[in-house]
Amino acid sequence: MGGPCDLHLYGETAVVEETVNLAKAEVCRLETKYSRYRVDSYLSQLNLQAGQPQKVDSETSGLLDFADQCYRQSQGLFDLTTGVLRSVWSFRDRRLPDTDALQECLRRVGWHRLQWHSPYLVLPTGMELDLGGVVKEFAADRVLAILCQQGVTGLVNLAGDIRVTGPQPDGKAWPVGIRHPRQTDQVAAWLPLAAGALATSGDYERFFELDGRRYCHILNPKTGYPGEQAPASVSVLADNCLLAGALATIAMLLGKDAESWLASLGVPFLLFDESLTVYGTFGERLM
Amino acid sequence: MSNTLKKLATSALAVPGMMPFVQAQQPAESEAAYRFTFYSEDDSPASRTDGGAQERYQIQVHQFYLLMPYGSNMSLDVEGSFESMSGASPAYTYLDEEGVTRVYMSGASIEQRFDLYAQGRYYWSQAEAGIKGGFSIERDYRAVSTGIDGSLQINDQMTTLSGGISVGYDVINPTQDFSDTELQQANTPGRFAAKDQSIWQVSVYQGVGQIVDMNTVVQAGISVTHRSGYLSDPYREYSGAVVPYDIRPDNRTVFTLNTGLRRFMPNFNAALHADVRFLVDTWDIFSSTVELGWYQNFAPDIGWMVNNGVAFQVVPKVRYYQQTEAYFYEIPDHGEADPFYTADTTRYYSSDPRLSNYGALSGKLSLKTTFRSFAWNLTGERYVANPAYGFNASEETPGLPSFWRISTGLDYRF
Repeated sequence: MGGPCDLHLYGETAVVEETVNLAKAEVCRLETKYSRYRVDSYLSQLNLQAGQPQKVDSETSGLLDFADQCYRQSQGLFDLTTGVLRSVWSFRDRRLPDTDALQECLRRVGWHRLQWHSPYLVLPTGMELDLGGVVKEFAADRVLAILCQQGVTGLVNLAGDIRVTGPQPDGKAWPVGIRHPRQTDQVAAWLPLAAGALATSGDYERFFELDGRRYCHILNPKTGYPGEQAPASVSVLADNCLLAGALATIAMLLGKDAESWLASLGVPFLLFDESLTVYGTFGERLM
Repeated sequence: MSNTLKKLATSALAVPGMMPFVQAQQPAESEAAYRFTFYSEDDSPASRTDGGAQERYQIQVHQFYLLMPYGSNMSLDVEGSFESMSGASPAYTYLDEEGVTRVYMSGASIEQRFDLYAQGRYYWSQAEAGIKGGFSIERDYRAVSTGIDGSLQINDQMTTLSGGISVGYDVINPTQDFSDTELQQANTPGRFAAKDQSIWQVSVYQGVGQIVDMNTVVQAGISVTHRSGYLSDPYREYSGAVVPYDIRPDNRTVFTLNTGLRRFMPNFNAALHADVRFLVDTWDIFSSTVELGWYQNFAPDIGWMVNNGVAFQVVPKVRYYQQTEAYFYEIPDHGEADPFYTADTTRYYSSDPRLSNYGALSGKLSLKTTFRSFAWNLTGERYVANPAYGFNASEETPGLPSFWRISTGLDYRF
């Protein structure tokens, strides 16, 4: 899942242990199924069969429907086909992509280029799907569903995607810290989370700085570059992680328009812009 | 909640496994719609019209529709319409002394109709069921109806089974030209006989839809409808006749078979719709309908249009219909006897052109324009009926209608 994961559960020991095992199994199942690094994963098989019609299972179909809606509502910014841009961006080597190579790569990017009529998919030859933008969030929601089925009260944290079953047994909200986008070992704000989900997207996970500009891994599918004047981080509260994560990602891609867009949606959010000025509607800010 | 957030939230919840327990597939959004339709029949040809008005029906219809999701697994919808009709309709057809088929038109009239239907639906993860009820009011006609229906998705949601039953009850109270009952019976025996008569109707249908591949859906359905009561047309009358001039059996059972194909053509961003329908009834009418439609989608790749969800759909359609005549359809020969009909009311007869051998062609062109959450529709249709278009049709039926129909409307999702 690309980062530390933890569960905080209340319940009888046996039930909690069983719940932990079920949750681990579910997260492993999703990681295996949608891993782009494993050639035998379900996702890799879909990508290998690019160019021909293929029927996808109902779970993947639901995720692709959601991605399709995100694409529409973000005017094409949220796009599961941007994964191929990895081949021209090297965050480890701290260098910008070659312009010609980037333009060539962008021809293989664009949700509008594929045919998606649920449950049938035709992925044009050379294009790839990368469900990294939704699977971690979906896994957190799946674990939460398992907690509910088991009757266990708890908090799920999958590498920063957080969701709770409800308040803690004593009725208090869960205290959740939001990482500072520049001093990443410090908490920038505290949020009492009694229901729903919190997801954060930021420019501090994979990035490099060149000539005074920070280049992060969240790439605009139209330009192949990170959004202009993108926030340093965006945290969004929503009913579930899938929605909160998508809103946070879209906000990052919108750049300077992120704050006004989130405000227009009416969702609670906390946004650090590139100068670390804080905007938003929740959280006890510490810095 | 903003429209964008609502769409994203709904789509997220629709992913299988997002909810701890299986969820329902209710409509995600509310929908409101208004539609106006103008219908105009061609005037009756003067050379074949014997008295009465030549201007046939013109109808204006205002329709309103509202659909609202309710709770997490229900929806409610309400549909109402108001019609105003004016013009004349054929009262009877006959052969004159020279053997020429003529149609006698009724006097022009102005009528109004109001109807209202409400429906509640309940949704499960792979099934839904609904109950509907409503009424229709005209000056001389009252109708109430109710029904239940449901559908079930099986075979990994590739197959949809649907079915339903509905019941209706109509009461007829024809307008009378005379206040005295004896005069009514003597001068307008058809209307007199129909006073406070009623019609019961029961209809049952069963359908199946199958997704064949990513671009193809086939569907089929059968229905049985039984009507019982006063099925004659009280306004088809002939001055001087001592018995109703239109006497039909008091029950009718209709069987239909529908088949359809929906084929999406990705290369054209269009879909072909093909439908064939057969009908047979206990009045010996057999009809068949073939309809072809081409749904051409067009979404310009222009910035502000993409950002505002602007898209167009143009739909040309052609339809061919033919039917055989009812076993009691006949054109009376006024050259042989006047009045033609006798007091034998056990014999059925009608010169209603809609019960004759005939065929009909119609062409329709629709344009749908979507903008954000709005959709504007405009449709024009030309319909022409003629015995020559049918099979085994040698006689003339000058009372058959031909018409233009234009409708426009606005849909809004919220």
